[in-house]
Amino acid sequence: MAVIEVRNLHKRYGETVAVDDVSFSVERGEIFGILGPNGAGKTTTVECIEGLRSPDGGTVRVLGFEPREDQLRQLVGAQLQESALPEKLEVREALELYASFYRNPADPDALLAELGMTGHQHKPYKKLSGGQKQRLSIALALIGNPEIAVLDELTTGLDPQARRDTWDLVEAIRDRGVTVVLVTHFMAEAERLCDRIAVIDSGRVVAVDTPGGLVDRVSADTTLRFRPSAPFDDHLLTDLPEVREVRRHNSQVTVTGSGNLLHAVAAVLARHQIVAADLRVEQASLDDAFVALTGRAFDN
Amino acid sequence: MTGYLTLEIKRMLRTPRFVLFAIALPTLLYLLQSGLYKDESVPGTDVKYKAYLLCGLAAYGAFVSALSTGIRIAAERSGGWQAQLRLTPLSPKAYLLSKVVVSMIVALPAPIIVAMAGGFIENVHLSAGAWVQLTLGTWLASLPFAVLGVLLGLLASADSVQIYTAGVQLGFGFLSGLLIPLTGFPSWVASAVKAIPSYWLADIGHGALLGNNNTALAVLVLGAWTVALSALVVFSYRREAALA
Repeated sequence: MAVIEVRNLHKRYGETVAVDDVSFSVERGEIFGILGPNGAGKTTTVECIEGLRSPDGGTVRVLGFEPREDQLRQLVGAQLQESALPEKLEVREALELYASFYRNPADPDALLAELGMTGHQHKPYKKLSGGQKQRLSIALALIGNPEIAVLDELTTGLDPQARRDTWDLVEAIRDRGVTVVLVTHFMAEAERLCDRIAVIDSGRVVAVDTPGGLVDRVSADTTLRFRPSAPFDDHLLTDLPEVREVRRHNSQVTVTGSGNLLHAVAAVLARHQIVAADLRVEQASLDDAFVALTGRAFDN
Repeated sequence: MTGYLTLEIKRMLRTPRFVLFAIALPTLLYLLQSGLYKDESVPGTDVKYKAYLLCGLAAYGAFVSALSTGIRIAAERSGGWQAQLRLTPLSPKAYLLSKVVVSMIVALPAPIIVAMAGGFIENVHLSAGAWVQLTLGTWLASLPFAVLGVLLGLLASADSVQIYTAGVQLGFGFLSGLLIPLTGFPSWVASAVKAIPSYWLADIGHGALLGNNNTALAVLVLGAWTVALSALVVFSYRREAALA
């Protein structure tokens, strides 16, 4: 069942068209990614879903409601791209304030513990690190026990460790049964977290699919690179049905093909007692998918 | 609403600098001017200047304090805090009303402290009723300015709001004779300033001293300003959402 329906969304700021024609639907219980380079119209799209902006055209329905209907505020938790709490507001004060807004709030203590913020509950907002601020905004998005959480550029500006921790949190949110809409311009983040992704470029949806489905659209090719421990004849590999091409560069061999390429090549090499040193397997990535879908490199 | 209001009051207590200025300036101006006028009376009355000055400066302190919330609102709009609150179930009514209530709390100390300067330092003697009308009456009558502060906060940017607020403070302060008495000015000036709400704010105190019966009219004029400004506040808040 779709919890969010976006149809032919259009939004312009003056002369600039931010969202040209965006349609997608989000199913209950999934992590739905909105992926695209900076300026693609991702944030404008979710701000229309949140009711912060009024669309110039198209329709948006969230749990059957118009985005600006009051009932929806109880059901949707949102974290803004730039969260801006008052500087002196303490973590706990912010959570208690938000809890006072909702009919059925989560327990602030439990939420603080779950997000690893118990030790920081009396810190003012301005003294929090980037990762702590993001965790607080996740907590604020979840305190009302929402059905849908909208998270916009959650991990921008975080160091790699904090980013991975945040990813774990997002998965934990989904595991609570909350539908998550995740806006991101990080390929790796979308690939790791999302059940489905809408790829947006220049205000338009270029594809909606699973991460794997998007990659498969581009190419099913796999590339292997390795240094053989002993010389061998190219025919050993080119005779395999999985192999399309074998190239050599100095001591390195590059094998391109499809299907279960790695298994086929490894089996032949083993039979001839050749060890493949520095073996690397490369498959098409979401980056390649983006280039193929939009005709240009993913450019941030 | 109570959760938000409680937090707003806490936040206001953490940054008392706006209020301190709004108390210090009228108190100092009062002491300075009452020293200049010594024991002179306002022409045509037996009211001493040192008592008469209290009304304008108590009014000035109250309305300058009441306006200060606008500066915070403009900052919250540009910083994104207001947008974040719009995402929550906090209703626009609760948000705006809380801001007005906080403005009124902020406006309370100034008229009381100015009055205390009059009573304890300059030995002004008034009846208990007159003191109450001068302090609490002036405070209650500063309601339209609390609403005006919210309106400025909704219309001005974080950069420009200080200038607009200072403009309103000084413009209203001088033109309506709060900072310096208008008693020496030509009568047409005295008539023209009756269009300004702060004139009527000072008149609440003047009514207590002179025993004139303008107070009902003052309440009526200030009430009308409150209604008109409130309508503009609601309109501005909705328009910002509609244009987003």
